[in-house]
Amino acid sequence: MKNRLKVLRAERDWTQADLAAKLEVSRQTINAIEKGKFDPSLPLAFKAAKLFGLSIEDIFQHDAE
Amino acid sequence: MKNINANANQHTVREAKSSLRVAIWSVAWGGAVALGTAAAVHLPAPKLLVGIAALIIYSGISLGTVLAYIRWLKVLDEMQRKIQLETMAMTLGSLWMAFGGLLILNAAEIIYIDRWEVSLLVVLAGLGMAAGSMRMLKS
Repeated sequence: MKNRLKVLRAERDWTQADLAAKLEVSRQTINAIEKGKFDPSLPLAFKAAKLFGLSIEDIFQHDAE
Repeated sequence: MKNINANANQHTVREAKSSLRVAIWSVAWGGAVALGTAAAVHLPAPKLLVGIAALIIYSGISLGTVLAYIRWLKVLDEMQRKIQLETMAMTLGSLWMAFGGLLILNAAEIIYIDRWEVSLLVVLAGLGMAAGSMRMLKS
């Protein structure tokens, strides 16, 4: 699954640690999501979408799309 | 920004405290196996009495360790929990394999199992968990 987390974070000038604190996960988890190594759960995806004021589809895209 | 860092630090501190608690309980667990069996063999008291006392202490420490692991898993976030659960499954499988192998070798009188080998299994489990934690930190 691809995602725009890194771009969205950079636009807001947030570090991985900043985003991790906002989403209440570890920095390692943010890093793994950004690199596509880990797919977040639906609640975490919703939390990220709410944080950025976007829909889940605007942040996360399935590889086949 | 200060608030964000405080939140991040809080999470890390909670995780570190919980990990330390798990490590202490695991060492106590391994030690309880060795000390309990050593006490039953060497203490100049009725074996039944020493054995039951050692078993009660061991069971208490075992329960404490399990609860420490559960508390630790609750502190972790979803990715860390996934990695640790996979590691626990691998550790449990390896322990069953090792323990079964030891029993077979013991029955065939190729080796003789004593308390140190059993304690070593607990230490190996701890090392397996540590390897899992390293994987988590590398992410």
